[in-house]
Amino acid sequence: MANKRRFQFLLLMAVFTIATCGLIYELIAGALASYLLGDSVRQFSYTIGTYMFAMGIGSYFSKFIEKKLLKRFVEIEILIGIVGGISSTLLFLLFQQGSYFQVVLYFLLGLTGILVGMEIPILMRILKDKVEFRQLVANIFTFDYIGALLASILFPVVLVPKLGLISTSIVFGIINIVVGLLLIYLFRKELKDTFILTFKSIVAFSGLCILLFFNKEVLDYSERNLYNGSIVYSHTTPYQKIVLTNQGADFQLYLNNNLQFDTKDEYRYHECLVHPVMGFAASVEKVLILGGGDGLAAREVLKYDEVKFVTLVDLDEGMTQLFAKNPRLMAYNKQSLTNPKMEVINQDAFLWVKNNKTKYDVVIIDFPDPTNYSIGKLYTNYFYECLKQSLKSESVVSIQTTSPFTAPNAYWCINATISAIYPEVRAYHVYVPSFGEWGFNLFSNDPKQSFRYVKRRMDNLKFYDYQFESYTDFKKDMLPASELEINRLDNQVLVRYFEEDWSKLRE
Amino acid sequence: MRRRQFIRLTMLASVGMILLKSCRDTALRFVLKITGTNHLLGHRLWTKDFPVPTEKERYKFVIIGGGVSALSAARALIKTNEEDFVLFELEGIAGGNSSSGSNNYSAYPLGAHYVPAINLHHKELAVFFEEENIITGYQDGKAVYHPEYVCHSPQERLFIDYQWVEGIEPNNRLDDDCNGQFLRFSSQMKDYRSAKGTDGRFIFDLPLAYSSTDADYLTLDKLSMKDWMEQEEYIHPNLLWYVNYCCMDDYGQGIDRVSAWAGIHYFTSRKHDLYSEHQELLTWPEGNGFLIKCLEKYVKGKQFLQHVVYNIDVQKDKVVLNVFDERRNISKQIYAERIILATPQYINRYLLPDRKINYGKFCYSPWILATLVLERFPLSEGAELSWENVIFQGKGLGYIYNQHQNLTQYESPFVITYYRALDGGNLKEERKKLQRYSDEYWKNEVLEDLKTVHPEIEKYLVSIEIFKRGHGMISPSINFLFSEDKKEALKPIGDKVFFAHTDLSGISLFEEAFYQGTRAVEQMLNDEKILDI
Repeated sequence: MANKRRFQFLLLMAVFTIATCGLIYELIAGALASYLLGDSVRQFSYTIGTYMFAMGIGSYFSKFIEKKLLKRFVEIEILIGIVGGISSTLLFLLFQQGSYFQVVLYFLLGLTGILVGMEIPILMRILKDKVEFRQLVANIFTFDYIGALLASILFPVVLVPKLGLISTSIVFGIINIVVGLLLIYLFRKELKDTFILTFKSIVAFSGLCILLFFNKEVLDYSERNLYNGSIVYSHTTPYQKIVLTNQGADFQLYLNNNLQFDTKDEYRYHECLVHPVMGFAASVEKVLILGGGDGLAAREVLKYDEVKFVTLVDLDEGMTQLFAKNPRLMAYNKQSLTNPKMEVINQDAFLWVKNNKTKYDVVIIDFPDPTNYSIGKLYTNYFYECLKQSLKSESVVSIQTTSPFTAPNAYWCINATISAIYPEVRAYHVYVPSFGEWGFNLFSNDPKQSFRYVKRRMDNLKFYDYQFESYTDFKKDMLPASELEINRLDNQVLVRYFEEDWSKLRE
Repeated sequence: MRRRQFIRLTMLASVGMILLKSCRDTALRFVLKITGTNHLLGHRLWTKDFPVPTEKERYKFVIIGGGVSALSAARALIKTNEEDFVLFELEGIAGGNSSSGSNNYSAYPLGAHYVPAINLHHKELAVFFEEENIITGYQDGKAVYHPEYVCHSPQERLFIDYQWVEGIEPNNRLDDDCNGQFLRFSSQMKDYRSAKGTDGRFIFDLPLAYSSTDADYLTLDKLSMKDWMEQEEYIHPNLLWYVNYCCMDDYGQGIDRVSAWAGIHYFTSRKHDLYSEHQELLTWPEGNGFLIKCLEKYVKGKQFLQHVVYNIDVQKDKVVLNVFDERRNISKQIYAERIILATPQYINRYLLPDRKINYGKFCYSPWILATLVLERFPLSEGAELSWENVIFQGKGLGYIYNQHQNLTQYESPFVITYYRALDGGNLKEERKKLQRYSDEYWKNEVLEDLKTVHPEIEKYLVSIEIFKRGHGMISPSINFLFSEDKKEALKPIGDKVFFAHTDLSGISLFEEAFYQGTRAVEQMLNDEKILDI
């Protein structure tokens, strides 16, 4: 009798675990789909529906399994472990590609659903002669629903923030297989020949463990706390680490852990980077964008019909590919990177500028902040000198130049460096909530350029109002503390200023 | 049943472990390549085991050697419209101590790798730098150098007390004794930098030949730098290490062997800014190989590599040279009116055995240079990766980050070159070690030193190329710079053979080599003018 009770208890624990795992896979699919495709209500609704339906199919198919029920049950367990365990890794790899994502997502979701759907009916049949039916039904469904509750609470509170999506799915795949292995061990007498079954599950188990071992997310655990939102996508290119996070309805892009944009207010930044310079330029036929691989500045540039040709030079192919192929991100940059007017060049900006002979009417520079000496080179007097080759006599340039509030010395150092090379330079700034007070500079080689006469206006902007003068006023707390040096290759003072400014903030 | 299962499990687990381990081990596999100066061909000079000459050629002038002094001589000849000359170099590449190599990711030096801002009163050198757009103009009496060639920031860092700090002086400013000695040393050097002799010349100048000949200061050549420092009560170990490091870096020998005159010269001979601590210096990914490329245009079509001059016969009206062409394995007889020997004295002793010079006074320490390709740059505490990265109390002189002068963003793989002068008890023994010890030994020597600062460096290592330099630069040992032997070695033979190698300056710097080559040509051509009259 005691033995029988143990038997029953173990199988019910299995139900409990299975239910938890099953719901977790469903939640992962729902979360991934809403991250990638947007519209979370619709995505969750579809994934839950599909999953439930697939479970129905699974239940139907369960009747075709007639013999060796316990063995089949364990096999299904292992199969769920494999499919569920690798599902999010597969989907993450497909994230950048975009196109086949949906097909694969629903295929995996369906497969998991079918397998999970087969479990309960089979289990009920295994237990039907051993337990009173009334009790059996009640117990199985009780544990099934408790498991579901546990999963839905654990998922957002513990699993996603602590483990991340990929590791969560692998870990639960492993749990599924461990349950299978335990069942094999406990019911070795009933199962009789367990060798092949053990072998299969150990192979699957080791496979998932290796996957977990090589999973970057686990290694990056310490970095997880850097981000406010939950990580949707993380990709390390040869040049930088791209992390996309989600917070409510908005997305944030981090490059090497520095916030690049937040979809809730990036329009402020990009409108102010692009429209002032486009307004003051004599012509805007040919536009050069340096950096800005996210295509958001390009989106603003392409609003002008006058623009005939845009060259975008960004070092990181991984970045421009992501923003050219991923449907979620393409919705933000309005497919700017695949626009026929665009030419995307993946090359080092300094080398490109040094060798380029084509002249542009407008240049927009959107490099990362000077956080290291190699980026610092892109803010040197020599870079600005080399840039002249790409400019006509009346061309105008706009450049993002970090925050004048947080890093006033760095901001004005860039301004001083440009002023040493160009006769007309104008500093301006704007408030971007997710960044704080943010600074830019306009400059030109044309001494007649006064940054006063707007030659063209873009209607329907969300923020920029062409009152340029109103952005050029700097209060005392945004001015440098002392006289600043010019940033040269052989002194790299900018990186030092930037570091000092930021360390003051940390204190 | 259970036991069988257990065995199965263990077996599976061990297979898994082996697989995992092999994944890791592949990262530890890297390419090792050993190269070096051609010591075998050099040694054949001694036995004179070469084929009988079968061809004859005639030139007005012949330059022997292919280093900076030889190429500078070629430049000087072209500048005076003398086109009828050839240059023979024993090695397969030009450059001598300034040669360079390259791999898929970067060029790298095989020897000298920088030139500090030059003395503008060394006029011909300034002209050369202007021609090559290294000096782009002048401002406030100072040269403006091309921004790509001036060493970018951060220039130097030192690994000390378990972390990297900016700069290479191990001055502990919190320690009054240490700081006091560093400050006193620096201010004494500053005084010496501007000090002039009774003849109106700088006491310590570059080229060295411009220096004052006041006897008072020449006595500094009679004691070691170490003894001099002791006399002046510079005894703090950090300061001693620092000065020793500088001497090793420029002279290949430490303070106990280098003369005090030479040691002080290191700190005082550059006059571009008498009062500035900041040393502006010029460097390129290929080191001074860049300057070799600039100079090589003067020997286009006239430079013969892998050519060994093995016999010099000075006759009344000409010089007859026997030259072995290693590529074709034949010897040639060359007739020349005059020749310039821009070869080091350890070669000259075999070419001109009749000269009565104590060649033992000319010391050259052997070197190893190792160029490492790293998949990733190992993280370490403190200051960021710089151009020069020195290890306090390391065996070697640290390493150079070869891609430092690139304008591009950091990009994998990284290429660094590690330097080490073999300054053991006996230079000859050290040189023998260089050839006799196994490749494995030298690889370990390099990696062991680097591991003190980057313990996990092997994990990222893609390849390592060790270049053995049997004879590095000349060392200004005690009683050498102003010795009779050195003066004697510089004297032309009749009006036929002129000497140009940098070891005749006694210190091996680009400026000296350029000076020697240019001077030898001047001397040779002026002699001709006298004859013409």
